[in-house]
Amino acid sequence: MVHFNKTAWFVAALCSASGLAMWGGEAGAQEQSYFERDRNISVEERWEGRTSDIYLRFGAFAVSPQLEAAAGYDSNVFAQSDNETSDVLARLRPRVDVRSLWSRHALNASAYVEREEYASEDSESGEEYGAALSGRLDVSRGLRIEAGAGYDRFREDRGNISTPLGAAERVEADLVNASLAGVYETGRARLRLAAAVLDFDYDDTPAIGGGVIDQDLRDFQLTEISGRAEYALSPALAAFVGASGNWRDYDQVDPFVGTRDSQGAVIDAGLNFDITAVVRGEIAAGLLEQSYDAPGASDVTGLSLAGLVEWFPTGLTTVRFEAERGVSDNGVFGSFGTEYDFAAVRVDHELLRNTILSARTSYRQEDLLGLNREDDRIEAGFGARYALGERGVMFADYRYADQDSSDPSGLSSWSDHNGELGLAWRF
Amino acid sequence: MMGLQGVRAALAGLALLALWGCGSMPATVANQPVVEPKPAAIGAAYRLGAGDKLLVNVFNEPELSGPVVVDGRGMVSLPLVGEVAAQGSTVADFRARVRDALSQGFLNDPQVVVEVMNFRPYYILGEIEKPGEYAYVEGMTVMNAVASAGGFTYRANKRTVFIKRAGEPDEQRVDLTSGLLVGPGDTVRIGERFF
Repeated sequence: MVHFNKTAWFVAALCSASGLAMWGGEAGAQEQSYFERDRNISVEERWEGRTSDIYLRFGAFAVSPQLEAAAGYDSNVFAQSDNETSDVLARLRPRVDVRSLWSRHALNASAYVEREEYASEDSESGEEYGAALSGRLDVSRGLRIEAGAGYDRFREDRGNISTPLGAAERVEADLVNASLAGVYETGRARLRLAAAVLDFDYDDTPAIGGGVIDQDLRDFQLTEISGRAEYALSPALAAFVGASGNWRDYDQVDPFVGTRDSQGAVIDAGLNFDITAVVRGEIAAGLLEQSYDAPGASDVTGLSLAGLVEWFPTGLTTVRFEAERGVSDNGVFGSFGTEYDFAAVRVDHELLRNTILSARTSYRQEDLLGLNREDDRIEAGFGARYALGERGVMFADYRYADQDSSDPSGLSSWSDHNGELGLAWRF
Repeated sequence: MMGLQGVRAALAGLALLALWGCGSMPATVANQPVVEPKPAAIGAAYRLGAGDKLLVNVFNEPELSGPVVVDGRGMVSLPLVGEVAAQGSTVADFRARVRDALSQGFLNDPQVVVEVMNFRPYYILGEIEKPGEYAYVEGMTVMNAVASAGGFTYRANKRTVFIKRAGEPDEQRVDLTSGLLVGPGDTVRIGERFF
């Protein structure tokens, strides 16, 4: 079992940073960055750009209040394998974004509240909320520091594999996160070092028939440290190598599997590209290793994959391919982790300047470590957005999800149809 | 009255001067033949219209010569003869009309040369970065016009174009080829594509 020392990772990252900062071709000011990826504009980017100039100005800050209201239908509210329960719901989501209008540095903040109200299944009604603060310090032309912190109060979807089957309500949790990153760019070289901490705190949830299902076993802290060194072969193509380490520290010991603590690392290499009018994105492949402290748990080693590629068959259509392979945590009793494979395709088409049509499909396979269980989830959906002038958007969306699980109980296999019709308004 | 031979020689010189791109041609010798001046450079079939700027040269009559503009009523105002209709006429027809007008009690066998100095502008609109009115240049194609107007927008239909020719009531849908010409007074509309 391999252990990864956080302190060693920090030292290694700093040494790498020093070395790479001295290498990399011409130093000093460059008029144009070799790492700009703005040769293409996707349908989504163009859509978001419509409202970039709509805000309330308060001094040097732009304030963008928004309100989103929607009505929806869920054919399988509890993600059940049979005797499905359907319901309609209303959703209201006010949100405010604040961003600085400075020429150098940046300070941004956001806050939101979302309330879902089910017509019949009151247990599923509830709210989520959160706030975030982020900033960028432009130390010099080639060096910037980014920092961020946030808090989210969220509710797990019923279809989440970690949701206890006997839960009378959706599991709620607090997520506190903080991150710090430094980016140094000189000539054709760029170095990025980042660290992030996420703290998950799950609330106990009432059980069907009475009692409480303890969720404190799922409380954990995730620490990630990563570094990446890139070299631009041309203004449209860059190669990179990267390494990241993660430490997952659980507050409590799981009586079924023992400690869920684990440490891991990913070393990969890839390409980042932006080929005019054709394709842009990033692909990386490497090796991953995750070492679990649970007694009898074997390490996970294997191929690491990550890719996000946008293809522009026409100026009005963007096709987005996404793929990932890695490890994550889960709250399933008896399992100490998840090894997953994920792939997705999304197509956005700008039918008119104020009308976007979208379609998407995804596939996710999760191998629950410590259990003889594998879950396959397929999702497909389509939607449309129609702009009402500069400030309003009408939207409609349909999503189908199907989960096929090897769980012997059969209770983890389900399918679900979701539809939503709504209106968003920017003030 | 000037001798006939001298008149012919002078006419030959003016004819040579009226040839497109031959502004530096020196005065002709008295014995060179008369060359019928070429019609407007874009072709003999070009029809004059409001906004065209013409150069009328009456041999040996500098007071009757000079630039004129076809006004909104399609008329050209000339000294002595007053207004002469130009709208819808070819350059040759207009020249003949001016000559006839001068011949009626003003000049004996006037030698008139007419050429187009500046054509009417053309108009381009639709899925173009900078729609508007632009100066026509001889031999201009639709692609030239698009380039002058800042290029296509990302939603432009680059396969077909709608052109309303000067003097015609309706626009026509035409395949957009590299050689598709624009004429003075034309209105070119670039359509929108949906896929």
